[in-house]
Amino acid sequence: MTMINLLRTDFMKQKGGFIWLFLLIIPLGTTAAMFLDMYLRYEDYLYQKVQQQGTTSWHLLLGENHFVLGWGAFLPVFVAVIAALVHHVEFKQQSWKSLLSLPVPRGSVFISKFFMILLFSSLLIMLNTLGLVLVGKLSGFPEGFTFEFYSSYVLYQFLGILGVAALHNWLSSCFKNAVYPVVIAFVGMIATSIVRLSFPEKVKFIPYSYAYYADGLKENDPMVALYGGLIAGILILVFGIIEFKKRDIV
Amino acid sequence: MSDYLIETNQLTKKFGNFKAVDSIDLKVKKGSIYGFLGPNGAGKSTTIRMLLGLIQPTSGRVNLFGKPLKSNRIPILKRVGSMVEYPSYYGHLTAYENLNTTRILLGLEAKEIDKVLEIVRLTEVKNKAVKKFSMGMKQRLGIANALLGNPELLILDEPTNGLDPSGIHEIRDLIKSLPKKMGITVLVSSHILSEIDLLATDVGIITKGKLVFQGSLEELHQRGKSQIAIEANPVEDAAAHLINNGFQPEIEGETIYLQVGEAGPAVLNKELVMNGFAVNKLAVERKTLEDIFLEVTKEGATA
Ligand SMILES: Nc1ncnc2c1ncn2[C@@H]1O[C@H](COP(=O)(O)OP(=O)(O)O)[C@@H](O)[C@H]1O
Ligand SMILES: [Mg+2]
Repeated sequence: MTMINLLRTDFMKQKGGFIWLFLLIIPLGTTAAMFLDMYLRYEDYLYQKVQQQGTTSWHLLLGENHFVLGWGAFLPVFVAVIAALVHHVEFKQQSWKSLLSLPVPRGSVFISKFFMILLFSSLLIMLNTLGLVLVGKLSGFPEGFTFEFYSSYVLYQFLGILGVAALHNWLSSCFKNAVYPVVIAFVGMIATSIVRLSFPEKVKFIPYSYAYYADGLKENDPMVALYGGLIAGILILVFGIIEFKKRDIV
Repeated sequence: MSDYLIETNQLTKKFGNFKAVDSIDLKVKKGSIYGFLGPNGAGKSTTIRMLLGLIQPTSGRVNLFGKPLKSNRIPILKRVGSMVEYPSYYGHLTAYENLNTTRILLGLEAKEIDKVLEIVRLTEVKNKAVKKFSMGMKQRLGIANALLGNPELLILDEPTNGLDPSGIHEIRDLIKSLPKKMGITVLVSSHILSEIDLLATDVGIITKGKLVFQGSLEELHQRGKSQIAIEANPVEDAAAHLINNGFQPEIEGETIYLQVGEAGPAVLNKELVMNGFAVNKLAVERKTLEDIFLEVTKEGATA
């Protein structure tokens, strides 16, 4: 009951917030970019590639989104932005102290924020993929739309971000200035890319890397997204709850 | 069960090596308006944060409603309304929406919002975004928020901070009416003595983390008992003469002080004049609350 009430109020606090604009602009941007990509390169070049590789246009489009546009690498930063915005409402006018003076368990308050981050991140992931579907349809792909492939893409992204969501739920609760956790995520993303190139066997220890494995193309194993996201998500969430419960609210 | 709604035992909070709150035993009686008085940085907000479970004491205990806060945080907080330091609010939401978030978390009916809006007289502007509110309106909204759910105990940290005189007056009247109207016990902090004097029934004075006075407002006033001030020449000899005659004078600068009970002014005057001292001034002085406050906080600082 408390949990549902917390989620309700957390949702209400985002009324008219920047987060909605963010959820609109980012998928609009990725959709426009992919549309342009298909418009300029599909008929002359990409479709030939599809035929050579014996794959489908839908697989190719997903790969363009995930690797060429860099969605798989950037998604953790977007999740960090969402986390920062979810927590910022409590920092802006020092609302933590009044919220935590109410008879609500601190752990639940923390978990409710985590769920909010997951909710908005899922929306972002789904809107990005919906944009791809739209681009494919508009570009007149000859192959039929493979629902299963795209829905598993959505699912593995969701699992892959659990670790980042938990990490940034905690980080964003620590910093009054919402820019810091986002900068951390940005540095994390760049560091992950470097580690991926230089020490590929080590990159699986970085929570920022898991969403990258969600595509199910090439040699990427979506099981890394699944297990990485789940394990990191649970461990970091539990750590965060323990710390948050003990924390001095000053 | 003790008679105190709030009772702390050797409550202490250290930030690093610095003791912001030092072994204080707060005792707040049911039905009282407890004025928690102290200069800026004395440790009022830190104490209040510990009373609400926002920060952990370094040592010592907090009991509210006769139960340890540590093991009963949620049931205790259901009975407490609070506002710590500046009022918190969600600026982009309206007054009503702000109160609604608290109402939902307290599991109350929607009509409770209108009730508290009425009490702090914000009904007219309830659909206005709070960021457009004046400081006084925000402060009143903070109090409305604290009043949601009919708390038995209200904890307000410097509720008149940043208000103009008429705003201060209004909030004071509001707080004063609460124990009578709603049976609420109030702990209210301030760094302004006159404010506590006009508001409180009981007083605790904190300075540099130490509780240097605790008692009823009357007891505090009684500390300022009248005394007789005499300026006589030569001052040392006059004092010596009084001592020889069984009085207990104290010299401060050019003035001799005696407790009123010792002898009447007329007797003292005669005694000195008859023995050749020039009495330039003889007056019965009463220490102001300001003097007592300064005295008490000075004692505490050197103790
Ligand atoms: N989080 C903190 N870290 C370090 N020192 C603090 C912290 N909070 C308060 N203090 C210090 O503790 C003392 C008491 O502060 P506070 O309780 O806010 O005083 P008051 O409310 O009476 O003005 C001050 O000297 C303040 O600087
Ligand atoms: Mg203070």
